[in-house]
Formats: sequence, C-alpha cells, structure tokens
Amino acid sequence: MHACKKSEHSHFLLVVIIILLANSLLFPGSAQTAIPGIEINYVNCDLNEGFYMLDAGMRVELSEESKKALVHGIPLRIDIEIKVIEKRKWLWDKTLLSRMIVFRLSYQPLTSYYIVTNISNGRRQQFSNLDDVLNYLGEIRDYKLVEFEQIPQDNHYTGLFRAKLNIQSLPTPLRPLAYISSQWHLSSPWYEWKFE
Amino acid sequence: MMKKGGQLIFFAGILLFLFMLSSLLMMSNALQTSSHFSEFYLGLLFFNTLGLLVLVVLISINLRRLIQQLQKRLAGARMTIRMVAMFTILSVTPVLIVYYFSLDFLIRGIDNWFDLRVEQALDDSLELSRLSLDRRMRDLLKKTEQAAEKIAGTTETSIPFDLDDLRVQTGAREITLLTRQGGIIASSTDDPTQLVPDRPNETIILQLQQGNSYVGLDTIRNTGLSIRVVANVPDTGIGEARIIQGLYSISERVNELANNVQNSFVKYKELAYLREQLKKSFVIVLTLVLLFSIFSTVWAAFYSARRLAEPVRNLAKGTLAVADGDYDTQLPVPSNDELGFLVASFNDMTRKIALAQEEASRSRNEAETQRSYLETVLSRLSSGVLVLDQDNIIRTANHSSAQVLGVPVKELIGHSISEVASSYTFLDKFDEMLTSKLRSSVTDWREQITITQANIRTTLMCSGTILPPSHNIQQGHVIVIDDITAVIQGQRNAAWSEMARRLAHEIKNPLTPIQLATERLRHKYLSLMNEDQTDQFDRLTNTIIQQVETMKDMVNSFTDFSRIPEINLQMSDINELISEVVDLYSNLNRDAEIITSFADNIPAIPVDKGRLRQVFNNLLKNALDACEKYNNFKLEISTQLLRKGKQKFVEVSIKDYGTGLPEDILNQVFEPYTTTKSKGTGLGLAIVKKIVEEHKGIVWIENNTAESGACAIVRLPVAEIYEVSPEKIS
Repeated sequence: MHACKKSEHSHFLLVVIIILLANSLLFPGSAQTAIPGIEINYVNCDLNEGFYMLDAGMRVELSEESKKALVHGIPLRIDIEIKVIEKRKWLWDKTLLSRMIVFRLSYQPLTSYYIVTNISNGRRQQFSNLDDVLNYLGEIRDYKLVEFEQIPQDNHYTGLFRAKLNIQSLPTPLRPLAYISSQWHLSSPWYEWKFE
Repeated sequence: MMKKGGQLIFFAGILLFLFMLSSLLMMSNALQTSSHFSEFYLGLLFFNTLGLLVLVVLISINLRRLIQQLQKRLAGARMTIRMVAMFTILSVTPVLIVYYFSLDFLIRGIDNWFDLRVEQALDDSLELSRLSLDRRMRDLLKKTEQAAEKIAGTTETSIPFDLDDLRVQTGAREITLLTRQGGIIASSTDDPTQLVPDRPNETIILQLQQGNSYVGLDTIRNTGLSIRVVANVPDTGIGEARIIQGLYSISERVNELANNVQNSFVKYKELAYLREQLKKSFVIVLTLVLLFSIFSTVWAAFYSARRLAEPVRNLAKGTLAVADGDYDTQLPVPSNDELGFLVASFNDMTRKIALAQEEASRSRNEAETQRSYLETVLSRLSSGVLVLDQDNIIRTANHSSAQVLGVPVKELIGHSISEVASSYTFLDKFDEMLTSKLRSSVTDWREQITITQANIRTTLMCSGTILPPSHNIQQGHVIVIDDITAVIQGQRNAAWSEMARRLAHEIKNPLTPIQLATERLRHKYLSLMNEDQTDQFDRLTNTIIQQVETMKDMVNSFTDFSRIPEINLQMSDINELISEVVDLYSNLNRDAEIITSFADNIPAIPVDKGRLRQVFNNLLKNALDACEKYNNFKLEISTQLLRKGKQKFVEVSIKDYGTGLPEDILNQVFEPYTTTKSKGTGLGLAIVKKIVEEHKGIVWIENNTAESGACAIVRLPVAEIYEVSPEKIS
C-alpha cells in the first residue's frame, strides 16, 4: 500500500518533468527573457542650428545577474562612446573627436524607483520599472555632438558609436568574477555610420 | 661553487618570489579596503597566475630532468628525489592544514557578519519609513485632489491667485497646473528663485491620462526627497482637460532619517549580495597564497636537493672516473662542511693515486727500457743464452741460442730442454749433459759437447750458473752456449798448416838432391852394368825417382794447404766455370756421363776463379774416383739459386753413383788426412773446404738416400751481404 503511494508520486514527478522539458523545447522564448546585451539599432547625425545633433536607438537588456546586483543596491554604469575618425589608408585612423555619455543606474529601495543619472550633465530620471529605464537608456535624442565649424569639411569621416556596461565601476569583490563571467559582459560592437 | 646558469636561476627565482609575495600582499590589501590597489586587482591576479605558471614550468622542468636522471640511473638522482619528497611533505603538510583552517574561519567569519535579525530589523525599518511616508502621501493626495476640485471651476484669469491660495492651504512647496499633455498653464512656488516649475515625467502623465492620480516620493532637483502628487482636475466642460501637481517637502529630520535607513538598507543588501563574491575572492587569494607557498617550496626543495646532492653526484662520477683509470679527476669543493671535507679528501686521494700511478708507469717504462736493452744485447750476442726457471722451463732464449741449437726460438721458450730434445733428437746429448748439470749442486759449470745435426758436427761450449731469485723465477739457471766449431777447426787447421809447412820445408830440401843423385847414378851406372843387373837397377832408380816425384807432389800439396790465402775475386758466372771443368773431365774420361742442369737465374758472384776451379776440379775428380769401383761414371751436376730469408745463395751439387762414404767418416771427410782412397794425400777436400770458406760459403757431402753414391754440395752467398771491397773486384 505504502509502496504503491510512492510509485504514484514518482509517476507524477516524471510527468511534470516531461511537460516542463517539452514546454521549454517547444516555446524556448517563453521560458526566458530577451537575450542580455546591447544592440545599436540606428544612429542618425544631422546638422541642426550649426550643430551636429545625434539620435541613436539601442536595445539594452540587462542580464539576470546584473539585475540582481542592481536591486541589491549595486549601481551600474553604462558608458556610451562616440567617436568621429578619419580613415587613412597607410596610417592608423585619426580621431577627430571623442565623446562619452555616462549613465549611472541605481535602485532606491525606499521608493522602489530606478534612478538614472546622466553623469555628463547631472540630469536625474526616476522610473518605477526597469523596462522604462532600459527604454530611456535606449533612446538618445538631440545630443549635441559637435559644432559644425569644428569639423573640417574637406574630407569624409566615419562616426563610431558603442555602449557598454562598465565593469571597472563595480565594487572590487565583484570585479574579478565580472571579468570572467559572460553575465557581466554587456557591450555592443562599434557601430559605424557615415559622418556627413 | 655554483655554476653561472644556476646562479641566474637562483636569483630569478628569488626575484619572482619577492614579486609574487608583494603582489599577494597588495591583493590582500585590495580586498580588505577599496583603496588604490583595487584598480590593479585584476593585474595582480593575472601576474600571480603567471608567476604560478612560471613556477609550475620550473618545477616541471626540474621534475623531467630528475626523471631522466633516474631513468639513466645517474648518481644522486634517487637521493635528490628523496630529499625533494621529504622537503615537500615537511613543508606542504603544515601549509595545507593552515589553509584548511584559514578557509574555514574566513567563510564562517564572513557569514557571521550577516544576521537574520539585523536583516529583518533593516527590512522593518525600511517598511516603517515607507508606511510613515505613505500616510503622509495619502493625506497630501486627498488635499491635492480637493485642491483640484476647487480649481476646477476657477476662471483662467484668477488661476494664478487661486494657485497661490491653494499652495498656502495645502502647505505645498510648489503647485502647478498643467494640461493633460504636460503643458504648464500656471505655477505657484514658495521659492522665488525657482523660475521653471518641475514637470512630471511622461509615465506620470500617461498614468493621469488613464484617469489615475499619482503620488510618490521623488528626489527633485537634488533637494532630497519630496512628495509629488499629481491629480486630474475634474472636467467642467470649459476648455481643455487639466491636471494639478503639488510638490510637498518632507521635514529635514524625516528626510535624513529616511535616507539613513535607505542607505543602511542598501549597504546591507549590497554586502549580503557581495558576500558570496567576497568569499570567492578571498578563496582565490588564499588559494593563490597556498599554491604560491607550495610551488615555491617545491621549487626551493628541488633547488636545495640538487645543490645538496651535487657534491655526492660529483663524488660518484669521480669514483667512476677513478675506477676507469682517470686519476686526474679533481672535484669542485662545495663548501667548508663535512661534504666539502669529503670532496677535498677525494681530491687528495686522486692526486696521490695519480702520483703513484705516474711513478709506477715510470718504473714500468724503466723496466721496459731495461728489458729491451737486455733483449738487444742478448740478440746481438753471438753466444746463445738460455734462462731456465726452477722447473727447467726455458723462460728466455736469444736468437743466437736458436741458431746454435738449430731450433726456432718459439720452440724453445716455454718448454723444457727434454721436451725440445724429444722433437729435435740431435739435442739428446745436450739434454743429458744439461740435466746432469742442473741436478748437481755445482753452481758454476763449464762443459764442451759435440752435437751432430744433418751430418754437421757442431762443438758447443756450455757454461751455466744459478740465477738469484727474482719476482717471477724462484731459482733459475742461465746457460751460455758458444759454437766453438769454427774455433776448434781454426786451431786444427792452424796446427795442420804449421805441420805441413814444416814437413814441406824439411822434406822438400833433401828431395831434389835425392832425385838428382838418383838420376845421375842411373845415367852414369846404367850403361856400365850387366844386362841382368840393368833391369833391377833401372827399376830401383825409377822407383826412387817416382817416389821422390810423389813426395814432391805431396810436399806441394802441403805447401798449398799451409800457405796464407791470397784471394783474387772477380765477378764470374758459376755455370760457365763449372762448364769449363766439366769439359775438361769429359775429354779426360771418355766413359764419363756427366749430366748438367744449370739454372738460368744464377747471378754473377765475386769469386777467385782459379781457386774455385780447383774446388770443382777436386770435387769432380773425387766423384769420378768414387765411381771407379762400379765402373759407372755417371755424374749429375746442377746449379740453383736459393733464398733463405733475405739471403740468396748459389748452390752447386755434384752427385755421383759411386761407393758413397762410410757414415763414420762422413763428418770428418773435410779434415786433413782423411781419405778413403789408397793414393790420396787426404788434403784435397780439406783444401776444398778451405777455399769455399774463403768465399764465405759452406760445403758438405751427404750420401744419396735412395741409391748408392754421394752428393757434394757447395753453397756460395750472392753478393748482397758479401763484403768485398770494390778494388778487390776487378
């Protein structure tokens, strides 16, 4: 009688495991969230009122480990690097300008808000959920890149854009493991566009 | 003394050790406080890992070398491995124990920082802060909603005044009326410096557009926490839909307390989150320290073991070298300790052995020189020398002894005389004499014996003495043998010559008067006598005259024999010379059948043609005389070129088929007055021998073995060693 009960239990467990496995195989997207990382969707740079104004769209998705760290009070730093270079055939590329936009992302447990601070201009934004934060980070609007006069017009230039999670800014005990773990390597490759 | 490479590795190892130690200290420092070292944390980690890898490589190289040495069974390899194992076990065991307990304490220590009760207290205090603020927020929401209702019916012109009133009524810091799209209509603030009012963000506006009010704690313009309340203004149908936002300050004390609670909560959460990471980092550092200690110790163990084993290895190598006979081996003295003393003693020993060896070698060389000197002396001695040991075995025999005894040297050495005599029967007499002498107690003796080898008599003068005991012979004998045949022959010849000369002198003088007187007597009285007396007188005087003639011939022969030789050498063809003699005898004796067989390769040799003709004359005459008895005048004369060692000889043999010679006189046939003929003087063969010896040749007669008759053999040397002055050879 007792043995029979035990056997029923094990059958039930087996069925559950099979269903879970089948579910995960048939609907792989449903079990997991979007792939962590940063992807650059577009970068536009237009001349407006004597300035080169930059718009960019990115998909920013944090890893589970970084999200966990964030809600545990560890601030994250997202660095956006913008460069304008002149490509040269025989020499190394010449960098005309280099800009960096730094966002600091933190969690406020008292209000349950996510705070995004633009270190470059000191502007603070708060969001009640992480998706809003990531959407906010993924949209760069009307960034004054450089004055028109500062760029010599006798040549063609290339713009470079990338965003990455700054591991160096993490607390020391976390850093060694962050260096070797893929969970913390959130960075986009260089995105190139024609700077005109 | 360390080698240069060893010194370099040693200092490099020390340097690596110091660098790794300091980098580990920096890592530890970086973990404890987030000081300036934290920037280099990864670099330090990398450097230490690299250092460990270098140590692993060093240890692997050492281990590989050691295994190779072990496989080759090199001296000191086992000792090194034992020492390395011992050092490693002795040092690694306590380090491992310390590591285990440190890790345990560390993990427990870190876990002890966190207490569930503290965590709960912090959660509670945060919740308390939230609740306290929530209550206030609810009140302010109600107030703001009331204010919204109030302002709903207000005309646009009075809005600014009403907002001021409402701000004062509600106690807000700032109150703003906005369109539902977020456009500012009017604002009132208690801070006159604030020109632009704070706008709610898009999310709030969206929330309001959905008909929900918003209340929340916001940090506005870095002034600390404020309460933001946004509510829809009830729609009165006049104009567009509006929203009202009120910003309320929190008392400074509440703000401070709330911030403190939040900061502590965040710090605690952060620490709790970092706890595992921290543990991992500490474990990494501690493991690095452990590995560093172990690897350093193992490497140091290898280094020390090798250094300790090196003198022993050198000693083993040195010993093998000495065993192989290399006595010049000098080992480097490692230090001033017992091992150093041992190595120094070894060096001293090899030096002394080398000296002794050199001394022995010198002595051996000297002995060798002495021996070769003695050998040279012995080989140049005309006397034969035999050295016998206590068992009468011949230990030394010189070349002359072999010549004298007629036995090769190798047949002599290592055998007793009796053994030699059993192979060479002609030495029987010599063996008998020697055995008796050796048995007797006489220490010095002298004895003359005659041995006969191949019909040649040889007279030997033997003398012996006892040798003093030496290293290889206990009591031996040295025997000196001289061939005195020639001396005796010379003495005999001299005696005969003297006698012949005297006889000739004494006899020849009266012979001529006797002959003359007899001829005168015959001439004067023969005609005067009677016929019956005449015959007798004639016969008697004739007899006297003939006998005197015979006596004259005899005296001439004596003269020939005794005169001092005056040799006149000429390069001559022996074949031609013999042909002349043979022709003479062919003419003289028509019955004679003389068969000649001359070799074509006979070289011209320096001879006195006249005297050599006399030799062949005599030999042919003797041969024909020997044939008379059987009346078989058959002779075979042959010449041939012989080679004995480096010396060439011309050999002439004259073979007859006559009576042959009795064995008893065969050895003495060349002695003067030895003859088998009734009419012979006995000097013919003596003269033959004398002439042949004057030409440095030898002559002997042997009986034919198969048939009757004898064969005379003359052997003359060809010019190579024939020392003739050029002026003598015309």
